[in-house]
Amino acid sequence: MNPRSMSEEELAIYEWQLDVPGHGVPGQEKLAGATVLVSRVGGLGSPVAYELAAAGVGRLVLAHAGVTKHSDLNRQLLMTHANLGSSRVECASRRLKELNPRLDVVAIDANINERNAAELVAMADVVVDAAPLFQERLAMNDAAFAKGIPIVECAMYDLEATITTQQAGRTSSLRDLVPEPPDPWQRRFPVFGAVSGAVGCLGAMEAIKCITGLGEPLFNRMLFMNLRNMRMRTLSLQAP
Amino acid sequence: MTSIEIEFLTQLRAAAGCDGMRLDSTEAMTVSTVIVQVIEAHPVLRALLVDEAGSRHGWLMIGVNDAMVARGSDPPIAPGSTVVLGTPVSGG
Repeated sequence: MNPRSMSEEELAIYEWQLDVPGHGVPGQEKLAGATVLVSRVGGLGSPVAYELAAAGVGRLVLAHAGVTKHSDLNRQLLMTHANLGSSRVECASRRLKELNPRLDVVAIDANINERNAAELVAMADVVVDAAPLFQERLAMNDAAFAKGIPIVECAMYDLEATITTQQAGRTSSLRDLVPEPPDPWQRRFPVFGAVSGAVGCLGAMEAIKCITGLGEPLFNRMLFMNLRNMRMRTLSLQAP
Repeated sequence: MTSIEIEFLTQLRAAAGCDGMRLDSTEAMTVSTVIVQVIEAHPVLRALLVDEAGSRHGWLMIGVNDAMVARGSDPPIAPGSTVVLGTPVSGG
């Protein structure tokens, strides 16, 4: 990560967050010089990518295969009705650059797998895991741990969500928590877009904290949110 | 008398159709004995908690009083504790 100096226009755009104690111009320059891998840019990854683009992260690597379907549109906020049948990741890239034309987007029309995980993860300073399949999540988490890159693990179900941030040498890995894909997990599950949006925004904030050093990321802690009864619980996780 | 609150998360809550249960027992309890009693009360949860041999799933998420229980460990549960049981979930 190489911090990049701010233009006058950028200083104007980010003036509200430049006032956040502990952030300021040095933090903003770190964001501008950072690359974040987001996989995928669906219900969870869309708000992650959108908030990171809004915050001024310099480069996003987006990995997501396939074309926009009707069933995406309740939660995948970077997709549009007009994009039905066309590439998801291209639509996401276009939407993000409408918000932030300075953003550099690397759009990968593929999902993470054991073959491409190491290469894609190596492009990033921080990874945000928003993928639906545990094979994909484990491959990405293994690659992030091999490189020592922090990875934010976001997940959801129904009106519930979980989030934790992991890094080799500092925390346990996803494989420590989920040694193999859970049998009962199914590709399609009940969820509202407002739930994916809530945890996606938290995932973006975790990535921002990892990049800038602001605050305390969820290292060795997992936040459980139940939006049905608005109970929040943070469980400590065993350190390595 | 040992009294423990059990909270179901994610697929366990959906399968049980309730947010949790309360266990009252005159005997000391551990995570394993709690799981046995949960299965007795909610047989529909059996496949989400243990495998065919009756062993706890490696991916089962178990919390006791704000700390996640390490895989394979079976800590005692003090009276008044809250036990959280859930399955891992993902994005999409």
